[in-house]
Amino acid sequence: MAAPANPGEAYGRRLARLKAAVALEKPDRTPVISWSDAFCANHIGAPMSRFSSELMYSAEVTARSFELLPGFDAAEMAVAEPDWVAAVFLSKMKIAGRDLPEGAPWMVDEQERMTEADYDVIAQRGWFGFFVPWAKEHLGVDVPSYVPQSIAARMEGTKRLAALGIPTFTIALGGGTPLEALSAGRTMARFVRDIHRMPDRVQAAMDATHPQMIGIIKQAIRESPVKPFSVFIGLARSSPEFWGPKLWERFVWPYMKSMIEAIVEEGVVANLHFDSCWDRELPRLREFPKGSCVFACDHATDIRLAKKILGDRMCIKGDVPSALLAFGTPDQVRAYCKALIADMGDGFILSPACTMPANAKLENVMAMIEAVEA
Amino acid sequence: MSSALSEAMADLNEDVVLSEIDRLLGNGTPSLEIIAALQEGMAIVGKRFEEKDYYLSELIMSAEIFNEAGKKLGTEATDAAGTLGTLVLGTVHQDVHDIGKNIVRSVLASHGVKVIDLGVDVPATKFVEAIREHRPAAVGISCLLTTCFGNVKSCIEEIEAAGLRDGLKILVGGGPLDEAAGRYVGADLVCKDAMIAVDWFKTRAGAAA
Repeated sequence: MAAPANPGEAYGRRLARLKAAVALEKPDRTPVISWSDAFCANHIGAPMSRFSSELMYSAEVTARSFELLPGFDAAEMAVAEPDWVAAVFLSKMKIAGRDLPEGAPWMVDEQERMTEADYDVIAQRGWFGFFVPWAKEHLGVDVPSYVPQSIAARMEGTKRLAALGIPTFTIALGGGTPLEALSAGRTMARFVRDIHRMPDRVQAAMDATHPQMIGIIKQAIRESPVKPFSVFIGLARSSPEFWGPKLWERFVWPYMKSMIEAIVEEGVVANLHFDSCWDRELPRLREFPKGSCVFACDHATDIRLAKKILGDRMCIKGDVPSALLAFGTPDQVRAYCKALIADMGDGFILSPACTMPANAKLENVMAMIEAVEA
Repeated sequence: MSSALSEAMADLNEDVVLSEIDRLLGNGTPSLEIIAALQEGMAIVGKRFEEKDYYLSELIMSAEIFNEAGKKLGTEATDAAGTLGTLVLGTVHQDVHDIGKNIVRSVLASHGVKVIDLGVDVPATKFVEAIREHRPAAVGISCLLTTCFGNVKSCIEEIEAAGLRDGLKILVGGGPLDEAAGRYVGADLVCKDAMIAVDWFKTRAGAAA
């Protein structure tokens, strides 16, 4: 399928639709977007091994997949970076062709790679003083040489999509809470034990990490050749499903709050990609300025409850279930999406819960796209 | 039975749990009595989880404390841990995620279920072999990837083809594995959290008593 005759016009129309949804205004119709990820490789028959390991190739494949699905209003991400995503979480990724059979989607290989003593190292040297040498030694990732490659690939992917008239919805800059990285580096069980046994050491590491993370994200937004529409904050283990109110108030909320505020201060939308169930703490998200955030939920949070509590404060995005996209029928997908669109009203973006599953049926993806048409 | 030990276990007070065990062992209290007190504390943990006073991290922490306590009690604890029955557990073939599986393993073991943990990326043949060897009351299959749902389905089919399905409960769990997916793979029970599996074992034990 060729690019639209006027990609600039198509880009502007789609972007206006997204902006209206985020601003809680009335768009011409509900926007539909996707973080298509490994699905793109399967969709166009690209080898998963290459898609998982070559940044520029993943940008090319992602754009080709979206070119074949012009009903999407945006690509959530322009490039797949599994090794980097794992590194940011102090982990390694298993990927096709290297650790897994060809065709298998990547998955995090969580091991206890970070020690108790590393909390003190982080507290003394700061996050980057710890992370840069640690990543090289334990993960084989050379951060100074990787980052420019990553930026170049993101720009290339964004450019390819824009040439097709498709905006890129968000950019991932490693934003999250320190808890996400530390709990993955220690493993969840060890980290929970650390929180109970040595809470002050854990907090000292978090306090040394967080200002640096905020600083680098603000710098990246300012220096980005193209101002991003939104910046991604990915949280899963920070979810209230894991932590009671007392621990959540101490080890999650202050960090996520200041991270979100920092992004919003830069004039960029905060894309709150919050996995697991956030029902208990939804009222807290009302503290952020109206129209400054998108709450993206993965079907574990009650999306209709989110609408009720947050609907007059922020746009909500979600939540077509992975299992439905992979194993349902087009009629089931259509019915789910239509009901969701009717219930959510304005200030809503239709998207898969989390990422598009790698094995989503194409006819189900089409049904999801078609559901936004009246 | 030591109520101080049960309370400390329920309150996740590790230092008190461990010192109380030392005190009880010093007094000549039988290990099985100590384990019973710990399990009473774990039952309170489970109740608090169901009532949303506790969350997943408290479940994980309770299992960690129970494991530490078990080290002090030696093989007596392991032997006593099978009173509710046996579970063969693993993450399905081609999936290496283990957080959920490990929570299930720890929580069930601390509630008196003997858990045979086969690890991650477990082929169906390994499940079949383990069922033949251990004769469990249930099999738990963990799966976090929709791309592996087919492997869960074929694993259950292989268990059935091997003639091992009768009388065996098949539990499944994992982020995207909802009720519809549970029906697709042919499972008996979809466990959204570890306590659902604990409840199933307790109900079964109660029915058998």
